[in-house]
Order: sequence, then C-alpha cells, then structure tokens
Amino acid sequence: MILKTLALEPLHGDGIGIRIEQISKEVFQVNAGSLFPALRRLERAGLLNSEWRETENSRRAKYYILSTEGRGAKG
Amino acid sequence: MSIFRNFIAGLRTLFRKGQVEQELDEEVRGYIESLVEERIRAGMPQEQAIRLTRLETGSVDALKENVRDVGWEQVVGSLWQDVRYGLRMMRKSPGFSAVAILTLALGIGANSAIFGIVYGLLYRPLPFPDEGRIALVHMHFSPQNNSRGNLSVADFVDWKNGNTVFEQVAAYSRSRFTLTGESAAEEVAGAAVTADFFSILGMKPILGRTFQPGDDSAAGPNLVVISASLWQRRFGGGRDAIGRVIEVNTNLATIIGVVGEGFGFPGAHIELWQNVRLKVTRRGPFFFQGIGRLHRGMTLDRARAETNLIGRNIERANSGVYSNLTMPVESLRNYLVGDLRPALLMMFAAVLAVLLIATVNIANLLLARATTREREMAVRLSRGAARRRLVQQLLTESVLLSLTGAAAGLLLAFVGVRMFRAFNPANVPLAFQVQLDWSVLLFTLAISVAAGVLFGVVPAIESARGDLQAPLKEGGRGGTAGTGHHRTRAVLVVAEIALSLVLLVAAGLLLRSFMLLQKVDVGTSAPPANVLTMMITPKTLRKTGIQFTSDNGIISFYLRVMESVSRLPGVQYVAISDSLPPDQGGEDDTFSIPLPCWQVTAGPCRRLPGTRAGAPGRPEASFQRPIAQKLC
Repeated sequence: MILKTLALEPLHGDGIGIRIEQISKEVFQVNAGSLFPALRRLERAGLLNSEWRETENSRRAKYYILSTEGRGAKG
Repeated sequence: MSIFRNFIAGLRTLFRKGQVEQELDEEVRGYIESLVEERIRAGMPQEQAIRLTRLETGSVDALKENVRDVGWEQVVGSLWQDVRYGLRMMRKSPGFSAVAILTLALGIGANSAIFGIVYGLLYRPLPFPDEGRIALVHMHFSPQNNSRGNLSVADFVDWKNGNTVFEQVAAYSRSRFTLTGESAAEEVAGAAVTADFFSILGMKPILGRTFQPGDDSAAGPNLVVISASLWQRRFGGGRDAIGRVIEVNTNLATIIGVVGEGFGFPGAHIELWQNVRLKVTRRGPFFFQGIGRLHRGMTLDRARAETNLIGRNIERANSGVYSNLTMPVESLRNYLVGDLRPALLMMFAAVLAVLLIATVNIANLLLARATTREREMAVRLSRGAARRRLVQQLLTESVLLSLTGAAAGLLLAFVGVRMFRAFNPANVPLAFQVQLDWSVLLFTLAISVAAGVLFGVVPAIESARGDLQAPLKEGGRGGTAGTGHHRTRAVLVVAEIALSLVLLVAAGLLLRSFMLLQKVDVGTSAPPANVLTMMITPKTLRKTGIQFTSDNGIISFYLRVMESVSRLPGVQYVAISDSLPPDQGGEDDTFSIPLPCWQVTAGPCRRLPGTRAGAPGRPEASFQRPIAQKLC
C-alpha cells in the first residue's frame, strides 16, 4: 500500500498515512505504530529512498521516495 | 543490493547513534505535529486534537523501539549490551564465577586435549600424498603366529612377482647402523629398504636423489639416503655430502641423497636408509615388512583376496616351511594407530561424560542463584521487557561463563598436548600429529558454546517465567524458590549422580583389567623378579675390541660372556637368546642351536614354540637368573 501511495509523489510520514486512508476509502486506518516500522523496513530493503526536505509549513520532515527497485517491485 | 544497503545503514546506526536517534525523534514528532495541525484545521479544538493524536499514536517510546528493531544492528547492539551486563554480573559474584569457571576449565580443557589427540592420531591427514592408498603387508603363519609377522627376502620377491593389486611394492626393515670413519663412531636408527620405498611414500629428496628401480639389484653397490638431521650433524650440511663414501656397519656405502624434515618412516627417528640387495638364498630370515601403494580404486578387500592367493602359492611351493599362511593387508593408518582406536574413542566418551556432569552441576548452581535475582527479573518484566530478551540475556551470561572457562581450559589442553608428545605413552609413531591448532580451537569454541547453552537454558527459562507479584511485594527477597525450581533441581541432581556412577564403574573396570594384565602368566615358572636380562649391542661389543668376522669368533665371545656371568654371585643359570618370552623384539628368526655345541643351521630358520635358542641353560621356556640377549 505504501508503495502504491508513493508511486504518485514523494511524501513524508504523515502525508503517507493520510493518503493511504484516502486511497483505501478509509478502509485502512493507518496507525503510526505500524507505519513507521514498515517505512524503515522498506527503506532497508532498498525499495525506498529518503531525504529531508521542508514541508509546506516550512518544517523539516523526512520524505520517502520510491526507488527504481521499488518502482519495479510495485509491479 | 539491498543487503548491502541494509548493512551500511546498520553500521551508520551503530556509529552515529546520536544523529540517527535525533532524526527519528524529529520524524516522529513532526508526524504528530502535522496530524494535530490537520485536526485543528479541520475545526477540532487544540486540546482535543492533541489528546486524540496522542492516544492514536500510543507510546512514543514503544514506537521508536519498534522502528529500531527493524534493523539488524539492533540485535548486535543488544548482544553487546548483554555481554557487558553479563561481565558485570560475573564480577558481582566472584565466588560463584570462580567455581563455575574452574569446573568448566577442567571439563573443557580435558575435552580439547583428548580431541587434539584423537583427531591428530586418527583423522588428521598424514604427511604422505594420497595416504589412503598406502597399505602394509605382513605374513601370518604357523608356528610364529604373529598376525603382523615379517617377510623374508624370498617372500618379498615372490610377492612382488605375483602382485597385481599394488602399483608399487617395497619392503623395509628397521635396524641400527653404526657409522664409523672420519668422525667419532655413532649409532643411528635406520632402515633397510628396497628401491620403490621412497616413491611409495612420496618422500622427496632435498638434495641428491632417493632410491629408484634397480637400486636393490643383487649385484649393485651399497647406497644410503640420509635424513636432514644426520646431514647437518655429521656432514655439516654441505652439498659435498652427496657422493661421499662412508662406513656403515663396517661396509662402505655411498650417500646419494638427503631427505627433508618431516615424518621419518618407519619411525620418527630414522636417519638413514640403506638399499636392500634382493638376493634370495634361503627362506629367511624374516625381517621385512611389506608396503605398497594400491592401484587407484582398488579396495582393501580385493587386495586382501589377491594377496592371500600369492600367500597360498608361496605355502604350496615351500611345503614344510609355512602352514596356514595368510598375507594380511592393512591400511597405513590402521597399522600405525588402528589398535588404539577403541581406547582413544573410549577416552573421548569419558571426558565428554565428565563435561556433561560439570554442565549439570553448573545448571544446578545457576538455578539456586536464580532465586536471588527474582526481583531483578520481575522489575524488568513489569517495565515491558520481552521474555525472549530476558532469556537472551541470561543465555549470554551463561555462554560468557563457559567461554571464559574454555579459555582457561585451553591452557590446560596446551600442557596436556605437550606432555603427550613428550612422553608418547603409547609409543605411537604419529605423536607429532597431535597439535593444538585451528581444529582444536574450533572444537573448543563449539563445545563451550554448546555447554553454555546447555547449562544456561533451563535456568534462563525458569527465571524469565517468573512470577511478577511476589518478588515485588515489600521485603520480597524471595526465600523459597517455588516448587517449580525444586523439581528441576532434583532432576538435575539425579542426572549428575547417574552420570558419575557410570563413569566410576567404567573406571573401576578398567583398573581391574589393567591389574589383571600385570599378572598375566608369561610362561615362565620362575618368578619374573628373579630373571634379569641384559642386551649386548654392537656398541658394547666394539668396546671389547673383538673382531667379528668369523662365526667362531662370535661364538667363542658369547661362551666367554656366559662363563663370566655364571661366575657372578647369586647366578644360578645363564642362557643366551635372541628374544625374550613373550616375544619382544619381533624379529622372529632364530638360529636354532642344538646343545651343547653351537652350529648355524643351513636350512630354513624356524622358531620352535616355547623354545629359546640358548646354551647351555634351559631350552624350555622357563629359566632363572640372568640371560643375555643377542640381537640376531
């Protein structure tokens, strides 16, 4: 699900959560406790890359980008 | 690729822990904040937004912990933590740690030493190329009845001519050689060998050459190959040693090569090999052992079948000399150490049992000590520690204990191996193969980790299962260990006693067998304490200045010896023989000398059972007082 979300555009943690809820029409209620470990697992597996950027509210947040492998894996 | 990334990321976490933590903190905080903002923008009052988001997110600490657990570095990090904690615990109870470590040192050290011996003797590859194909051939016939009996030159020639299973065959015979000439006279251990001997063993010369086909022909010159040690000692290690003519056993011989350091065959101290001249005059004497390299793919069984055929032909062609002749074939390894295998394996089983007992003992001690740590465990469990983590930590402590014991034990093993090689109690020619090297270290590591887990697992699981309530109550130091612990400890004690009993019984039986061996009837009617033996060697002979060129000279010398000895006070009977009962020298051939005159028989040499060649004394196998032994 995360991969699907990020296929559209890079997002940071909170944005991902919201987007997943949107896409799944509220079927998936994302909770932070499962989101963050999953993000890190995907990153370790090489499917995501991360970098720090400024958000709209000019705050620093970690953005996750789909890597080339991730794009392939998403299938 | 991902494994690589994972590895790098993990390293980064380990070494830049502060920065990674900070990032994680920032990320989570940012997440919460933006959620709150979302909610506020949606119209929720601020306080409610904050509270709701906090509730949803749950404990930040637990969240961070879960994220951290994703990486492999977490396991390493926690292990490292456990090790440090374990070391601290060990120091806190020095008495217990000392006892445990000492016990383990003895148990593991003994195992390492015995393993080194077993592996070195039974399994480590020998320094001969393709040693699996080298086999020894003997002769087994009546009346000698020696299952590893020797061959005569005639037998060797017959075997060589009829052989089909061996690529190459050779014969060798151990001997002592006296070197005279320029330098001081010296006696060295050596062997008489046939031409293919060196090539079968794959022993290559470091100077000159070794024997090649034709060097053992009947009419050829005397040639010798010397060892590097002899080369250095007596010939200064110079290249001019090759081609030099030296005096060996009063005959002239030419040095043709030097063989390097390493295993001297047929014995560790062999320094000189002389070529045998294959001259068949009669059916004896029986000095030689046969050695050969089997064809590739040849099995020992087939080799035995074919070689025994040759034996039967020999028997038929020489009726009266042999009866029930077989020619046993055994592998080189078996010949060198095969007889020891049962004893060695039994020793190994014994020390393993000892270690097992030690393990059970320590498990018991750990269980007893677990009661004092109940509170600590309860506190940790109540703070949310996973039971698995507790078990991991306790097991780490146990393995730490056993590894420390193993380190001390290795010192013991080192001493043990040293002593074994120095004393060589079983007189094994392969003693040098016993070394403390990687194989022993690996074994020690494996066995100490196994022991640590073995004695740690039960106490660890018991501890982690702990009841949370009782220890946390006021004054909860937990005097009673709970019935669960009691039963486990009882079982452990029973196991320990059972194992110890098995060992005790086995040891007792062994001791008894050994004592019985001492009393075995050697065949003499005289109390062995009254029989004294002496050996007369060429060295002592040389001192008397007698020339031994004629048979008569030798005979008269020995007669004189017997006469003088019989005049010594307390001597009742004197006899001369070339072996003592039971046969010690292994050189089975004796000249049967009819009494009272000495006569060398021209016919085939035979040994009459229970007879000693002796004169005048007693021909039966019982004699009293000194006999002199002459080497045939």
